[in-house]
Amino acid sequence: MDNTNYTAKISNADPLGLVIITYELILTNIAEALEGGDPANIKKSLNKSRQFLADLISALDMSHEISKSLMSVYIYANKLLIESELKASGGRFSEMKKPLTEASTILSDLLKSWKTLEADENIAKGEKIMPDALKVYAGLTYKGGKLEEFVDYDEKRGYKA
Amino acid sequence: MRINNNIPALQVFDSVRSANRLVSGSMLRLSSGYKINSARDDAAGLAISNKMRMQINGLEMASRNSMDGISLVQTADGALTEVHNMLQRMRELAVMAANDTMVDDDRQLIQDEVDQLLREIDEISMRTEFNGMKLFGPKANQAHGFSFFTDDHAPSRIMSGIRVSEGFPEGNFNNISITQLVGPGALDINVQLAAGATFNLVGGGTVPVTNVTTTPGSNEVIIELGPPFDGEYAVMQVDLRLNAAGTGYEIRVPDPAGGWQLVDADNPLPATFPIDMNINYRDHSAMVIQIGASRGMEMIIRIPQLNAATLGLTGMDYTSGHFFQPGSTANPIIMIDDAIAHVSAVRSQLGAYQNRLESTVISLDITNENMAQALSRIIDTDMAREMTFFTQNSILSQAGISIMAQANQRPQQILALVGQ
Repeated sequence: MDNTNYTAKISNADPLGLVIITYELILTNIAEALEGGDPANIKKSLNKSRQFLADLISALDMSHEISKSLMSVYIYANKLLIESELKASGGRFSEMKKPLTEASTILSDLLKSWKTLEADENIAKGEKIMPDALKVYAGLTYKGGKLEEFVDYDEKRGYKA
Repeated sequence: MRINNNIPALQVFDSVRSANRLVSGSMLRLSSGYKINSARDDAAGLAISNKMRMQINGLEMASRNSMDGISLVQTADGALTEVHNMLQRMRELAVMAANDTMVDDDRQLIQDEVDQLLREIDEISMRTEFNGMKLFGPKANQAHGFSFFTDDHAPSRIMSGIRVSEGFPEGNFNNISITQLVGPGALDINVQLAAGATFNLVGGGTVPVTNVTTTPGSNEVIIELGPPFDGEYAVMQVDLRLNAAGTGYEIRVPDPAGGWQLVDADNPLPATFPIDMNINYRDHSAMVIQIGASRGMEMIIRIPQLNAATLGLTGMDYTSGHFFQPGSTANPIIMIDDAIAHVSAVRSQLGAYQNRLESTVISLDITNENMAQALSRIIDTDMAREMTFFTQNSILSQAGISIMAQANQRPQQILALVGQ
């Protein structure tokens, strides 16, 4: 997982963008676990995906009806992730795949809807959550044969405090 | 002698270190997300924003704790699902072995599989952890107060604990007795800790106290119970405390609706009785989950010790057949049925914990009590598909609200997690 890439994305996200990033982080971690390999890494990926999921849950505003639907889906996904962890800790990686794939499917399905909202220009997305975050210029610098993102560290004086 | 320094390596190390410093520094600033980064910028503003952050974090933390609690319960339940399946398989085998068309060799094969299954149950019990804490293993954190131990007396399934909060007198347990406190819920307890004392179970039957160990100067008392140990254990916890006037004791039992319910204050207890005492009828120490932002808003989760021995499944012999002979006490089918019933009971208790935790997450950040309705719990794949489909469409049809529903998310958390 490329951390710098995510750091810049996250700090420049609007609320919807952050939700989408979180989903992507969960799905990336699930995919990493599904690839197999070192049991310790599998465990770590599963654990991490659960932490991101927990963040989605604790960020729900329960005064909206839809939050409850989201929460039951999240809690079920959490259960699937835990089931996978249990199978993995018992060394049964082949059995781990079923609940894990299921969790991935559920969350990918929801992600589709969020992405549809993101693509719709008529919907108000809200302000950037971190208005004073560092600006990121994508594709303006060229380094080592690839286009890079450039993070402007000089512009914000507040960060020098 | 010349000390050889690996200069290039040190240089690399140093640059790595400074890069790390840079990253962690910018992460810190990025993840604080506030305009005020130090008191120099705006002293009063910093104080206010710190205070607000403290409250927000408290609530957020409580919500996370509840989510951790849900995960803990789900972990325990997931492990018990596996135990359940193994017990079902053992039952199948028991039925098979009871059939006289089986020859001895067949039965031996069955016995081998059963032994293997029992080992796996023990292994699950030892292996199932949440955050490094063993969920079904012997509990290590029984440091306070009384603890009843029955591990050595298989096939007992119940281990009880008494927790004494403070002011417990040293030694001299002969004077301590609670006799026949009768109240709603058929509460009927008799605890005598004198030599030759017995422990009366709620559903009837007594268990002798075989040993009492005390540690002078501490509140800890370990009481060992002798066999046989079987019976009802419907009451989990009893709270006894001196009433406001100091003339007697008030007894409370957990109210199913939450909180404590006063049982009966008409029966004053001997004055030597400890002031504040909890009696637990279960073989597990409490795990406390902080479910609110303030002190005292906690929930207690208890998970019993579960393994082949505490399920009463040790020494099962499938090789002899004839399981239905009258008076046979070692009938595997009956033993397994008991074990399955016990696991089911524990699982339904776990379900109750999860309900409570879920409604906590829901009502944490809202003041309207009506909102704290139960969630529709998804139990299988079909339901999950259905619910996902429904939610997918709700997100689209209520676009603006959907974004708001999930809008409490803050980049700091995600940044911190990404950085780990």
